[in-house]
Amino acid sequence: MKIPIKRQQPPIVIAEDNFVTARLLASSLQAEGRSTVIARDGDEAVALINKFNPDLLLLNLNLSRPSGVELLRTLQLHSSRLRVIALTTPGQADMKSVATSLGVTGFFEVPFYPAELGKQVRLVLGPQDR
Amino acid sequence: MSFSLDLFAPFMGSRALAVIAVGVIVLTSLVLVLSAIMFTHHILSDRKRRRNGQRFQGAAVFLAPHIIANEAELLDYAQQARRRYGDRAVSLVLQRSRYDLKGETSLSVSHVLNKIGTVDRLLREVRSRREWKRAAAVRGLAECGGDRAIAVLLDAADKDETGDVRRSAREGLLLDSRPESVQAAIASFLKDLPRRAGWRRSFYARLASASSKELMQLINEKKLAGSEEKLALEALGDAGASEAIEFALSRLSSEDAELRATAVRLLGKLGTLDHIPQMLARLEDSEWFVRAAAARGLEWMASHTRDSMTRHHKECCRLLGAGLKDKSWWVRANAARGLAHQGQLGIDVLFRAGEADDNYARDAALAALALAQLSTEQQTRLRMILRRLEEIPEIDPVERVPFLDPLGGLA
Repeated sequence: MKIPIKRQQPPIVIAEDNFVTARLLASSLQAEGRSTVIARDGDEAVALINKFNPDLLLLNLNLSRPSGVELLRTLQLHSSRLRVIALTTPGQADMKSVATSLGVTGFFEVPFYPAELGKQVRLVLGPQDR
Repeated sequence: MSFSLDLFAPFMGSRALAVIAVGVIVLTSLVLVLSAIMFTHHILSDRKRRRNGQRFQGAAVFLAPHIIANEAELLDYAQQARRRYGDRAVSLVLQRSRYDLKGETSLSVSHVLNKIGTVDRLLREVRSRREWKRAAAVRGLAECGGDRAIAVLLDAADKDETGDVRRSAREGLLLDSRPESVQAAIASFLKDLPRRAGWRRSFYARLASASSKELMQLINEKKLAGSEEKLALEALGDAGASEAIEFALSRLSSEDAELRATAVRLLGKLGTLDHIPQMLARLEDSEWFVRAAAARGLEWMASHTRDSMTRHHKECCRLLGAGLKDKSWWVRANAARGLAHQGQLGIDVLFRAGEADDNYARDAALAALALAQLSTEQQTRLRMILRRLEEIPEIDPVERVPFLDPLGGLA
C-alpha cells in the first residue's frame, strides 16, 4: 500500500513592523499548528518570500522600506500563487481600494480576536493537518 | 619644572599673553573633560537603551504564546518574565498587547496587569506634580484598562488641570467603550474642544470606532456644527458606520459644497448599489472637489461591491469617461482610477483616452492603466502606447533657445 506523501506547507510570512503585534499574530497562528516567519520591513519580507515561496503573506499596509502598497506592486499578485491578507486599522478606505486593485485576497483588522485570524487563514489556505 | 618653564617661555615677556595662554589651556581642558563626560554618558545611555530594547523584545517573544492562552497561564508566565526581563519590560509588552487584542483575551491581559502591580505603580505616578509624568501614567492606565484604572481616567478627563492629561484620559475612556466611559469622554471633549483639528479628528475616529451611535446622536442633536460635523462624518465613514448613510443622503444637495463632498465620500465608503444614481448625479456637480469626491467614491464602491455594479455600469463608465476631460486634474485622475475598477468596459474607455490626442485625459488614463489589472494583450497594448509617446520629442530641437541648453554652452 502506498502512503501518500504530504507536502510540507511553507511558513506564513508576517510582514509587520510592530514587534508585539507581529508576535501576537504569529502566536495565534502557531496555536492553530501553522508555521510562521516574521519580516520587520518590506525588504525583509521580499527576502523571506524568495526564500520560502509561501502560500500566504500577512501584510501591514503601513509597512516601511518599501511600503506595503509598494511591496504589493512588486509582488504582481495577479500572476502569482501567493495570497495576501492585508492588516489594517479601522478606516483606511483609500488603502483598501488600492490594495484590492493590486490583488489582495482579504483584509484583517487589528485590534483582533485571535480565533478570528485562524478562521480567516483557514478560509484562504484550507484546514491545517496537525 | 623645566617643562613648564619651556612651555611658557615665549610668553615670559608679556604677562597678558601668559594669562591668555593659561586661559586657553583651562578652557581646552574643560572642553575635553565635558566631551569625555558627554561621550561616556552617551555610551552608557545607548547601552541602557539597547538593554531595555532587548528586554522588551525578549519579554514579547516569551509572553506572546501565553497571552493568547488563558489568564492563569498568562499570570504564571508573566511572573517568570518579570524575574527574567524586569517589571517595566513585562508591563510594556502586556499594555501594548491589550491594545492589539479584543474580547476575552484583552480582558485577561487587563486582569494580569492589575495582579502584577502595574496598575498600582501607575496609580501612584498619576498623583505626580509633573505634567509629563501624569500624562504618561494616564496613557499607561488607558492601556491597562479595568475598573480601577477607569475610575482614575473618569476623574482625570473631568478635573485634571492639563489639557494633555485630559485628552489622554478621554482616549483611554473610549478604548474602554462602556457606555458610562463613552459618555464621560464626550462630556469632557465638549467641555474643552481641543484647538487642533488633528486632535479633534482623532477623537471622532476613536468615538466612531467605540460607539458610532453616540457620534451620530451628537450630529443629530446639532452639538457638532460646521466643520466639526464634516470631521465627524468622515470618521463615521472610516469606521464603517452604516447608520450614517441616511444622514449623508440628506446632505447630498446641501448648499455647503464641502458638506456635499463629505457626504459623497461617506456614501462611497459605505453605500450600496442603490446609492449609485445619487453618486453619478454628483459627477456633474458645479464644484470640482465634489466631482472629484464622487469619482473617488465610485472607485471605493466598485472595490467593495466588486462585479455587481452591472445595472448602472454603462452610465457609470460614460460619466467617468466624461470626467477624464474635466478641467480639474483631481477629477481627471479620480475618474481614471474609477474607470480602472469598472471591468472591461472601463478599461476600454481608458485605452481610448490613452490613445487619443487630449494630453490631459491621456495622462490620467495611462496612470490608471499602469495600476489596473490587465490581460497580457492589454499590457502589450499599453507598452506600445508608452513607446510611441517616448518617440514624440517634447521640444522641437529647431526651436530650442541656446542659452537654455543644460550644459551651458550654445546648442
